[in-house]
Amino acid sequence: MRTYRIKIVLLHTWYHFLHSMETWVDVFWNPAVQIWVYALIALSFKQTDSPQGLFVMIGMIFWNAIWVGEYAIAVGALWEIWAQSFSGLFISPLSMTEFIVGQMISGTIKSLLAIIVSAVIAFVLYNFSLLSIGWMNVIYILELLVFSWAVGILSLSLIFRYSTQVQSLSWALVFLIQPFGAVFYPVSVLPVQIRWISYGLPATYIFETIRKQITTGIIDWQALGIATILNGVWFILACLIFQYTYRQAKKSGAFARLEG
Amino acid sequence: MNTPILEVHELTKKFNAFVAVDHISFSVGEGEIVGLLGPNGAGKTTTIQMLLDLMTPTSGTISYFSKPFPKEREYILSRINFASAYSHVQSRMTVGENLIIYAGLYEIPDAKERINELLSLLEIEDLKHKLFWHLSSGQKTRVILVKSLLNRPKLLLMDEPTASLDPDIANKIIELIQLLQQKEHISILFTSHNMGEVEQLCDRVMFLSHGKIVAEDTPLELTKRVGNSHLILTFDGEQTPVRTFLISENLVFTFPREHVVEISLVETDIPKILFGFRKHKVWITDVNVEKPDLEDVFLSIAGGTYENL
Repeated sequence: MRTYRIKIVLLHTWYHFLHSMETWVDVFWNPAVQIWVYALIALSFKQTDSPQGLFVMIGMIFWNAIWVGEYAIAVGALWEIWAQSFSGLFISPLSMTEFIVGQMISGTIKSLLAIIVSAVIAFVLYNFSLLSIGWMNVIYILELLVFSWAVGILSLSLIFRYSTQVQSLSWALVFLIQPFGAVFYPVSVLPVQIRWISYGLPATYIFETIRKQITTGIIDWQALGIATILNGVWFILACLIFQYTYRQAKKSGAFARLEG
Repeated sequence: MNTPILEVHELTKKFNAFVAVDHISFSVGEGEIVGLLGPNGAGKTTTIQMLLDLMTPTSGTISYFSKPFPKEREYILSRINFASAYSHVQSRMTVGENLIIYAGLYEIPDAKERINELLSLLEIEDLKHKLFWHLSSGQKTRVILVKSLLNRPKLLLMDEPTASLDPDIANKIIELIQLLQQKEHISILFTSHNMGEVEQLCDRVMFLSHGKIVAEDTPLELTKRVGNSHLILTFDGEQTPVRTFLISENLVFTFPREHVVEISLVETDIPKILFGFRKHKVWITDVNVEKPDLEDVFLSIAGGTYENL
């Protein structure tokens, strides 16, 4: 793996970003509009002295880390497949690992931009400063980003396995996690029978910890530890599944046929 | 043949019971242009995809510069390149941006000079700031050619580079490939459905049929194997002296029209036959020779008659 080529992948992403209105919409417009709505919901809850509105708004701010991070990996590859330029990249010395690492870094930058845009709007409308969470922001965002990478790599595996027929999963897969990930509400709200799904997701522990810190000022390190372990498991599992599907796609010819 | 740049040994690709490429072996020497031809489904594209590590072979070995592929992937891919009518660069980016990216991936030290040199050589400097998706098919093909030459490849794999182009543009592209090959002295493995292009470009041709190499030789030698030339003569007077003379020479002939005879014969016998007609006082008013070409080889392979020749 060469750092130089990862920088080229980032430059490629930047050039593409400059000419792609869709990516601007996904990175800036969508988070801005969504947080606008969620901040207003939070304001309506403020009148009832319930912190639930604040939780929904903060959930939305941090959700950007997962959504944009995942999107960058899966849709980053799809942009190349749609342009019939994906295989062209890999007949150069660029390796798949370098490409994915490049997309992970680009996803991190885009996520941070989306979070900043959301945080500024939340501050203006609700007078909530994300800086009040302090340095823990770094840990929360990093944990959520690692999870987003795992989901992004899994989405990419599905595309390699089932081709672009499943391309909508690049947007949709991550939203399957939202109801179980305790993004806007605690796990206790969910029916007991399906809570085990939530407890298998690192995002659950992170969002619960954020809410606990905001309510009590206490940081649940144990929950964060579980999130870190689960993140490790998810990421390793995603990499192994990806490695397998990539190999299989090259064996079956599906990889070469991705561009139709 | 000089030093092989590419060596393929017993390369095979199976998709369950279907054998797409069946134990093919060949090599491409330095500065050589080799054509890989065959009907649709013969295994050409599958072979190219395996040569680029886009598809894993079922068995067999590939080596470039005497190094195993894809084990030495990075070393090899930095020294070869690929151009195809079906492989593009990112359409949302400008031509210049795309070329900067590829120059970066190949770690070209003098990237900007190299890009400008090639854009100028292919006469497309004016496209540098245009988005790739705004270009015509011919312009896109030229951009892909520039991309494929950025790293000064020792071997260029070309999969139907002129497919879907108008004949005049395709001809221009072929002339450009010839020019580039002479200027950069690269080896080329070339697939095309256009037999004229192949005859014009290739030093050697391999015909694939049902995944196997069924013929391999220079274009001239391959066409010789297909069969005789056709001598078409227009003559004055009666058919009888013409018929008598041709029967005496044991030749196969037909009269497609009253004063036209079509004779199947070996090309070297043509002067003798023309002289014979003169001796028999047959007045020839028009002479036309139809030599067999790669198209005939292609058709005989596609029709399954080539093996029987």
